[in-house]
Amino acid sequence: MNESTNVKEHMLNLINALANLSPSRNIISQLILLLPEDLAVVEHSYPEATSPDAKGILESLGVKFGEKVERINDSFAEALHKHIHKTFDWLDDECLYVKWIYHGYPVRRDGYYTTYDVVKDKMSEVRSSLAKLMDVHVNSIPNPYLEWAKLVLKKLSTLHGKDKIIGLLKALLARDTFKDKDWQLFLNEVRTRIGADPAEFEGILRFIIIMGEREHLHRKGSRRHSEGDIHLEHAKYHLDPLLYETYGTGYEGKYIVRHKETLIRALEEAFA
Amino acid sequence: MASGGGRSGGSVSEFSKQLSNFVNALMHLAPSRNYITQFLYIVKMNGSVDYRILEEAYADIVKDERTREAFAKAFGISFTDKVSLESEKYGWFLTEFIGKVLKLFEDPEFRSKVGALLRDEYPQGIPNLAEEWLDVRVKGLSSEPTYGESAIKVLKEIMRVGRAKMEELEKALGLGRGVLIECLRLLDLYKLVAKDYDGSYKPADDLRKYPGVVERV
Repeated sequence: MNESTNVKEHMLNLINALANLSPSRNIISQLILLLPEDLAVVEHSYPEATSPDAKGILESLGVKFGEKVERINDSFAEALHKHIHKTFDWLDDECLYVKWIYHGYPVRRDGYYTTYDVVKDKMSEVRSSLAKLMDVHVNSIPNPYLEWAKLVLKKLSTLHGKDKIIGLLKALLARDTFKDKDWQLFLNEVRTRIGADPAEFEGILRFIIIMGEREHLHRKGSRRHSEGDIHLEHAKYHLDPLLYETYGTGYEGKYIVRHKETLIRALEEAFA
Repeated sequence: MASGGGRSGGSVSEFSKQLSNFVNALMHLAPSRNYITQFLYIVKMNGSVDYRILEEAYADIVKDERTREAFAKAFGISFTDKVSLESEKYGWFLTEFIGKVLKLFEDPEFRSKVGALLRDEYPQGIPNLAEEWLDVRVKGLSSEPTYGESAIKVLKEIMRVGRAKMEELEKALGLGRGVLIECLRLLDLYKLVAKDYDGSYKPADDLRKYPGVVERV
């Protein structure tokens, strides 16, 4: 396998392949990302995907057609759904991980002794590293999250009016974190400000901010003593701008806003 | 929700176009077709690999400091005396996903359904990427300048007898212990053989499925 290879060219092919799998560029990825969904909605929104041939292929990918169209557990569709999220984060410098810090000696943590700490960190130099490697400007590296966000925001603005979408997102993006108790106050205040009725506001929230489906990402703390967990809050269109972080029993959790710069840019570009 | 691919209605040909882009993107991720994913996948398959070995096998990535640093930051690769993928970082996730892609393209039903719709583009049918990846590993092994030829002989012997211990291979092939150790090290790097609990070597599972790949070398 040792042959003279153009690393730049292969890297470019890889990045392009990953970008082409993103939901803004391909309806198969898009449909799989947005499941589960009612069959009637799928038939209306993706008529090309419901022909017998197309259904057969989607079933091979792990999509189940019934009254609801769903991803099958442990299928390729499920793996793709997860992978789209990881690539969104990766090419937007938001890929979160936890790192183990080995102290080499016992340190006291809330009454326990441990030689390890587990802290969260972010892969924040992905785009610049890829740009350097390929000798291109960082802006020429595709950003599937930005592409998808613009598409989603445009679509939702046709349904709910752009002022409401912009008003809600700008208010969210003006903050870095929200404690549990502040979150509901924030929502009430924003709903009044943008003039949405409760049902409509609930819908917009569910589409782009939070739908009550929480995915566990990481555990924090030491090997013996947990200091809480980090969860990803999913939304229907998977812009997923919130993490939810807990700090152990008895402590208040908090929401952390992410993809901030990109969402601001998406708002500017979608409604320019 | 509209796609950036430009949709024109509910036709089968529109779906075929989208399917073609989708399948092409997946195929470009395959380690048999992309040097970057090949490097990542070899590291993934092995857990960790000696720096020295990769420096020789993937010199374009490992020898150049700038490239190495970019790979470390972008994919989460640890380069010490061993090279490994850091857990929960993107290189690790990507190789997990590539494993699923290989499994998908190994499924004859998937290949036949896609092949029927994309017959013009793939007149020979949709490739089995798992078999193709095995083929690349075997060819990579055979082209290894010092021990490649002997390693293929060792592999063929292991496949012929089903499983063999080091002493049995020494006797059957007339190879010295040192050469044999290097051959088995290469076979292990490419995950073409597996060592059993009793110390004997047996062909890897995918070689049992696709023995023709070795017969063709």
